[in-house]
Amino acid sequence: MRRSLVILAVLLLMPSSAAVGAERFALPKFKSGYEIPPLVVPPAGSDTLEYLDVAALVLALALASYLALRARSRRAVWVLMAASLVYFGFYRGGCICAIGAIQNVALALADGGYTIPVVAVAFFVIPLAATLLFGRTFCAAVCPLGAVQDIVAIRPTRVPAWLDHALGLLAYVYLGAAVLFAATGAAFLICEYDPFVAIFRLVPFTRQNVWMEAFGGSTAMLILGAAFVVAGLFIARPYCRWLCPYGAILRLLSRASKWHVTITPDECNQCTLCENACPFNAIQKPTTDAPRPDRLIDRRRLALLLVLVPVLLAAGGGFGWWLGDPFSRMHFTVQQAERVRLEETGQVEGTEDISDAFYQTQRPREELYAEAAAIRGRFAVGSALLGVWVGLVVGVKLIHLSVYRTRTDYQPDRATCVSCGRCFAYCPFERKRLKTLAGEPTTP
Amino acid sequence: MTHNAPQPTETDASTDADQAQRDELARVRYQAALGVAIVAGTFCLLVGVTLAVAHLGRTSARLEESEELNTLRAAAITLPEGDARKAMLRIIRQRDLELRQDFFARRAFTKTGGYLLLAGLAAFVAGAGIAAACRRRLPMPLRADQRPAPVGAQAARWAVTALAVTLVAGGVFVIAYYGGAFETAPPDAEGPAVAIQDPPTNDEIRKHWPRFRGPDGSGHSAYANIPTAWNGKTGRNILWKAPVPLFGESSPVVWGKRIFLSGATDQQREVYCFGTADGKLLWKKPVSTPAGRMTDPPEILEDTTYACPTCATDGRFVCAIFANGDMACFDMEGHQRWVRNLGPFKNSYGYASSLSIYRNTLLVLVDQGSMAKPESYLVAIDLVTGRTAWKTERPVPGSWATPILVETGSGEQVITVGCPWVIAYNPADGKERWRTKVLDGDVAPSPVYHSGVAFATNTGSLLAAIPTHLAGEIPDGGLKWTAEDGLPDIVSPLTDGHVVLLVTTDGLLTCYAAADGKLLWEKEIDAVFMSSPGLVGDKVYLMDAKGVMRIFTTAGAYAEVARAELGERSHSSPAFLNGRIYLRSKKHLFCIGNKTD
Repeated sequence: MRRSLVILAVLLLMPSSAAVGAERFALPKFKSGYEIPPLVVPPAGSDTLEYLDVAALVLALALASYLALRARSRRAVWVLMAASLVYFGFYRGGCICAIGAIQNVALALADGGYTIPVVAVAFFVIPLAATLLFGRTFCAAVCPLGAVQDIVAIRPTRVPAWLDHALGLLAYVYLGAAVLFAATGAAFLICEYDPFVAIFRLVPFTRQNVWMEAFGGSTAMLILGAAFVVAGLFIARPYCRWLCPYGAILRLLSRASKWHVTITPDECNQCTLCENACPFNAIQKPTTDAPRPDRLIDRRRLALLLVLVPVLLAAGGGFGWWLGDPFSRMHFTVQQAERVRLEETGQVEGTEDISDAFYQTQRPREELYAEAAAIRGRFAVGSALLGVWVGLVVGVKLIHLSVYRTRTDYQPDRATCVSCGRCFAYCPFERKRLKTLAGEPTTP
Repeated sequence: MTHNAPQPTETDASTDADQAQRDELARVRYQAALGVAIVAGTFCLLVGVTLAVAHLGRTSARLEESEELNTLRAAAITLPEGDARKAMLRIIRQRDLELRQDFFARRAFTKTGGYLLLAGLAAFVAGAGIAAACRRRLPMPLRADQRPAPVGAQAARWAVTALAVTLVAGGVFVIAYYGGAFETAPPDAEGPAVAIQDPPTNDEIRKHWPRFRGPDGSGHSAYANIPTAWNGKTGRNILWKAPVPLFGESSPVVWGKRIFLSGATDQQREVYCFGTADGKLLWKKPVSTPAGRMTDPPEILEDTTYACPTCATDGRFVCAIFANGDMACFDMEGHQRWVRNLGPFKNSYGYASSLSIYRNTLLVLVDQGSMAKPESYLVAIDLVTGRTAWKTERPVPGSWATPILVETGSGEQVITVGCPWVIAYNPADGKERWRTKVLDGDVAPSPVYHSGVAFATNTGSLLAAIPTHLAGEIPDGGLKWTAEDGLPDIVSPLTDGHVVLLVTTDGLLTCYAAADGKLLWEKEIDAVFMSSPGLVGDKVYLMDAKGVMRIFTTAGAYAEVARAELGERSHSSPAFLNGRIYLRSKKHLFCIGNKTD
């Protein structure tokens, strides 16, 4: 154990090697005698800043857990959330983030040739561990994507619970798709379609290496981000609830967390005051004592769904297999092979950048085609697994919705509760605790 | 009975006053926050619209997409060296600078806008958040009958089912729009069938005209029934003539019913396939590689042209190479197998060496560089894949000759010439067999071979008869004989095993005995010769630059048998097939044959 820790410490402190500058393709010669200046590669950024990110993550997680579970201060959580937004969002440009780290991990597991940055592993693992201990305090006050949505949630309206249940599944589908595309080396979907990264990088006070020109090459992402912000004024944390793939993992882990925020610091007296406090539908109500006349039907439904699960898995797998071909077209090599093929067979006139890039390598086409075929094969298998995953998610969700559970108190749903602390102020016992019963809610 | 209402006490009045004050403060606070939110929101909207408009404006003025600059550049290229071109270059640089300044000004603008937008958003969120908090009221406990009826799990199950159906529909959409056939196998059924065919045998090759100067590069015709009389102006014995789209000095190669040619300008490169029956252009394929496009067109002599090297074919593939280094391989139907670029060539007159095919490889001689720094090599490229099979460095500077591929008594050899070496290689692996130092200057005439002897020559050096059975470096004493008169500068020699004929560009014909190098005869002709001669039986076919073909025998003395005119200027060498000659003029491809047959 001690030896492992030493190795880990060495790995963490080991500086990464600088990239060696080299021209990928032969440089053109100019008859004018002009000499192309030699390629100068700027020195790699300091690793210290990356380790600072990890330290900031750990510190923010510890603070968030303390403030949400122990201090029970929504205001303090809000302040920490704003600080995280400034640091991880605007200063670090939304990169690196735990959500995107899923892809690094997936690619590292699938491709032995890919060296995953230690920081990416840390950003992936540390919030998971924190969630196992304290619930989703990472979502509460550390994640910049959650923070920006939480801060703009000015007039959140309650989305019907049934719709919330259904839309919540999209996050699992997105998680599966992100893993598939990352593992096959096709794309980092989460990064490409991160709705907030364009906003984070709108102002150039991020570090130089992540600065992206405002309105340049990112218009679509900026529009997407603006749409989420505007929607977030009225629907609290739409991305976190229905799309965030990391949130999907945290939901599962949070169910088993050792500790978790509670609505009341004391015994719940079922006063109903907190019933509508949560804009995320994350407060579970007590069940009634009324007799359940349709118990037999419930049992039959449950049995039917249990039988249905393998069918869903098989159908999902089969359907996913079909999707492998179109999905593979997201991969650069497949796109390149397709374009080269079209040009080769005269189906299109002229060349494009993507085919020019291939021709410049002077590799034979057969090699490219073989590579593309191998990728398509991987996509077929991966898409089938994605289909199985989606079938499993739908099946489990249906079963989950068909199992009757007894609750006596108002309590947070451990999976969907992001530990934001909004509900604290609605509990009279909390008011009593804070001696603020006469005042207004402390929600910012 | 009377009822006395409780009278308000002083404490109650004080409480009411406090409450009223609090209410008033809350109202002011709410209105101020709302005002801030409205002003900030309007500000954000204005900044956002301004940035969007600026972005749209900038999109049309990106430096790399500037049509104005591209037009100016294109115009500058066409201008001759001189003041006008320099002035144009100054204009381009100035405009380029202006566009770059504009780019950075716009970027600074959006940067400032980004800061303003962020500040506005922060103010809006703060104002709106405070205003919303002012309006928020604590809920009251609800009685059981006031609580809304819980939405059952049934609705959620239906919603989940609906979502699953939507996902499936989305998947079907993806398959329908992004699916479809995409086979990465070679293009059609004929492609792979051709690719896996064995290379033709030497006997089969001898029936065709697969490369520059015929099967082994000697200029010998395998057929005796070649016409001796034609006239391109009157049409006599001209079976057909077909225009060649792009200019070039490459000579025709023929396999079966197909004739292949290449043509090029400084910007375009093409390979053509004509039908032997009627000269119909069966296919025309552009050749282009990114590397070729990225470099400036090479500087060449007018006589060399951008398509000087002759194509090579083996009945399965046809390959072409151009002055900028672009090369391509097609199957017989014109499907491109691969492209490569070997350029840019460090070659002062333009690349001229023609291609040869040996079994499954394409042999390319790239002689370039200077005596002080030769950068020459002979490379064999896999015909099927386009990959390099082997590559051998050569200690010679730029040359313009074509290697010959011959079967000698001691095995197959690729015999190359370049200053100062004549070097023979094993075509299978590029290993050197022998070399000898006999040449000088800019070597353009290709060598010839007959009966165990290779003949190599160049103006200003020697005509050397080199035995090909030796190995290693052959000293002067190892040569069979040498001669010094009538050495050619462009036209390749011709030998039938009895004599060796040399032709200089300015019309001096010199004939040596192949056995001992004895000068047999000389003949001066008032013409310019660029085309290399051919041999049909005992008759030499030699065409001058005006397209006049002189047909003569060499025994004893120059004896002209016939003379025929193409009617057009030509520098190409003839291709002899069964009863036909294929000749390329500056504009046309001619098929000459006896119309009475």
